[in-house]
Amino acid sequence: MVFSSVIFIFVFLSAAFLLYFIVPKKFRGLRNIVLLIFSLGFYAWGEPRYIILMLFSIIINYVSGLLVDVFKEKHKRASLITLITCTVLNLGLLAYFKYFTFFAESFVKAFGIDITVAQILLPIGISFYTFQGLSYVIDVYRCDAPSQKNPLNIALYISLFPQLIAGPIVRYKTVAEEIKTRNETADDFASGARRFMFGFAKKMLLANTMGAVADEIFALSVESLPFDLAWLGAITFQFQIYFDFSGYSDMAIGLGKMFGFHFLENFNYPLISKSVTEFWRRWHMSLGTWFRDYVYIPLGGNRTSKARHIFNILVVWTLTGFWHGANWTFMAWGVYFAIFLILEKYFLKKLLDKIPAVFSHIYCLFLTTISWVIFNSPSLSFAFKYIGRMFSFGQITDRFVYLVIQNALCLVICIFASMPISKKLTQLLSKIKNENLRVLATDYPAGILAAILFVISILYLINTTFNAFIYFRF
Amino acid sequence: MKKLYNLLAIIVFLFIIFSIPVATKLAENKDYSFYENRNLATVPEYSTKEFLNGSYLPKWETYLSDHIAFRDEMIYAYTYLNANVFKKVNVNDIILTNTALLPYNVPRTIIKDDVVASCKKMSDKLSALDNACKDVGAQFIYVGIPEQRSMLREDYPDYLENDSEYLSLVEAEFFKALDSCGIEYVNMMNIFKNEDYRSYYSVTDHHYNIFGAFRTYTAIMDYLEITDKADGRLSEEDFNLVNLEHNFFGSRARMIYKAYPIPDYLSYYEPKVAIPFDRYDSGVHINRIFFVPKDVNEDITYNVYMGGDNAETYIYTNRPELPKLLIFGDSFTNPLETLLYTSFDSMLAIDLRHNNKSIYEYLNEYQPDVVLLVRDDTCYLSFDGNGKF
Repeated sequence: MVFSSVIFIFVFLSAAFLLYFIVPKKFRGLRNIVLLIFSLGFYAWGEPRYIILMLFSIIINYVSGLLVDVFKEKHKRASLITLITCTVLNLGLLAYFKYFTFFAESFVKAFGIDITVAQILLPIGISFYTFQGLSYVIDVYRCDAPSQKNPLNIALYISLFPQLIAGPIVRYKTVAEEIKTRNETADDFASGARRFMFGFAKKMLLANTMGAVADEIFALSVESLPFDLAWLGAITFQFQIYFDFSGYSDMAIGLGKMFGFHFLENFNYPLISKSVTEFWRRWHMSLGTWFRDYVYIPLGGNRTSKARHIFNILVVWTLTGFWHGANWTFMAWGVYFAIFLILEKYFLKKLLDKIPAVFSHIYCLFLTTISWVIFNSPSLSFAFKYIGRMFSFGQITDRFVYLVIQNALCLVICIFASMPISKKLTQLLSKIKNENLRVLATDYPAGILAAILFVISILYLINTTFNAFIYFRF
Repeated sequence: MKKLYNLLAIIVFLFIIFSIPVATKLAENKDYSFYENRNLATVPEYSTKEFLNGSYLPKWETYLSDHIAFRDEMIYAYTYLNANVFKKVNVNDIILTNTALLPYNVPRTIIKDDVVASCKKMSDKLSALDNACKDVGAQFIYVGIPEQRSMLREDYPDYLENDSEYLSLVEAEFFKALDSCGIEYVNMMNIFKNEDYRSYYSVTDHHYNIFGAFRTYTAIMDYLEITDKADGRLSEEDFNLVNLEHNFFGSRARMIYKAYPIPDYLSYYEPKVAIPFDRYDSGVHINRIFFVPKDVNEDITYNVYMGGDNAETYIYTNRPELPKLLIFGDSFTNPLETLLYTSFDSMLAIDLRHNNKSIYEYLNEYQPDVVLLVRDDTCYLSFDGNGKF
């Protein structure tokens, strides 16, 4: 099920709120069971068969967590073996369902073997819940979080529907306490609802509109793609993926808040970054910190020799790229960022700090725009040709004029919505000392705007069929 | 103040997500969407196989989307916003111009050889039909009508595809192919383009209006005069023009839920001296030609003419001195039929889109003197519907 669907907004969500809040607060366990049932139903909606896979993942992680906890005091080695086994099982499932077909096809193609490779359907959200499950067992192993004795709580942590299929990747230690004891408040519900409505509007009004343009352009013949359309396609895809994914994160964070959970932020206006390094501190932060804590630092991080540090960055970013999808394009996309992160770390950082901010913004936007072409291309050769077409300058085409005129308002809104204008404004207005006046100046206008955008988004939802979330395939 | 805000925010949010399902439950169930011209989804039938492969439950999404309360009102609001507030050029695949509502054309790659090959294939089919007509002693005439978007192609903004290159190529090659097969035709583009063609077309519908139909009627009768089959022709003076006050709801206006202000009306011609007739639609006796609601506040559609598309319609005027006409084609025939029946002994109108019987069976049974195939220029190379004969 997707958030941007009629069934989710008007049936699932209303039923979930009704049945969840009808249970008295003191029956925390019962509330959790209600939430767990809805979460499993949410997952089962599109792929009932794969719920078995998720339950298997839950069992592996629950049992591993318990064993790691039991062994960690006196049997360190057994504890480590359990962790390794759990990691292998988790990653094995991910590797089989996500990468087997890709590698088998690549192998068959490379050696010219004449066999048909079986197509394995990718279970929705497997990349997200695998990483969450691993996070739990690793946190227990590292004593960052206690093990969970109640299997229902682990099931709830892994399957919690707000962040189940597209993140943010919630670390166990972030919500460990809240699963057991959280306090659903009117304040959280109101701000969560507002956050959800804004996220929904980002997805429906901005991401989908930009996505329609990007899809149209990426579907054209790349051989004869005019330069203006090539740029428009890359830029609109950048907006699409940003508003799609950050909108989804907003909805997840908002929903979490309504149910009393406080997930960490996943985006922080990445398009205003002045370097690739900064961009990745602002983009998909939950994935970045996951790789940092569970891969980069265990590899030695930056406290090693220069060569080893470069190696570590390359490993982390190749894996990051590959996490996004089973295609060489994703790997190339990860390596692309690794190269610029290394260059910035050792050469460009000082220069970028010195030059006027406008140039460093342009530098970063340029690199990220190119990166999304690699990301959104069906193959590397397509990506290279597409990027080549971006620099084959010529006349402005009628198609470009039409697409810009047709989507002018949305493009302008995307530009402004990418900048922290509302954040700055809120910060400014929050300095008002009188509380009533402050609420009147901040919460009311934001709430009214969110409600209006939510209603308009619903109109779009009813009217449009183009509403598949990009991040589903991850 | 903060507490009041929280309370209001929660009430508004919950009202939005709870009110719609409650209203949907209470609302009357509909089967058909007039604006979208399609049947709405039916309640999904349960199947374990579909449930397990994940295709059953999403069908409920389609069902609910189709039957949600205030659906038409919400789509109207969406369309109104996009057309009038966001000022989009293209709304629901309709191009909004000051002069007409036109369809959005996706740019296409034109391969001349393919067009020529399709023209040859269609002309071969038409040649076979022409021969079959000759076998029963009938004169076959192909009547080509420019569709509204074709005739008003100059109304598209410069930066938008108006399909002119393709339509002109098809027109040229298609009639060249008919010439080479010796098939008789009337190409209304040649006539319309030299006249005040704007007055022949609806601004909110893809058809010509009654004036375009009347001009086509006179062109056909001019052509039939050569073979002395136009004895029953009437001139404009023989008709009363009736201008309807109802608001005409054209096919393109329907696609944008009437959300763009561009008024349009319908008219029809009726003989000053009534011509008695008997009409049978698939065997049912219906003695009407025009279908106009009494209430002028009610919107009307192109169905005013002949009541819309019918599988088969026989009209007998019982004047054996006049020839028998068989006409088939898409809805462009409907206003034309309201004029043509006045000039023939009998008229059989067929729409193959709604009919399983072949045109050849009708030819043998009805034994017409004149056979007209009426198609618009966007369908010259279509082998579906009335191109499937």
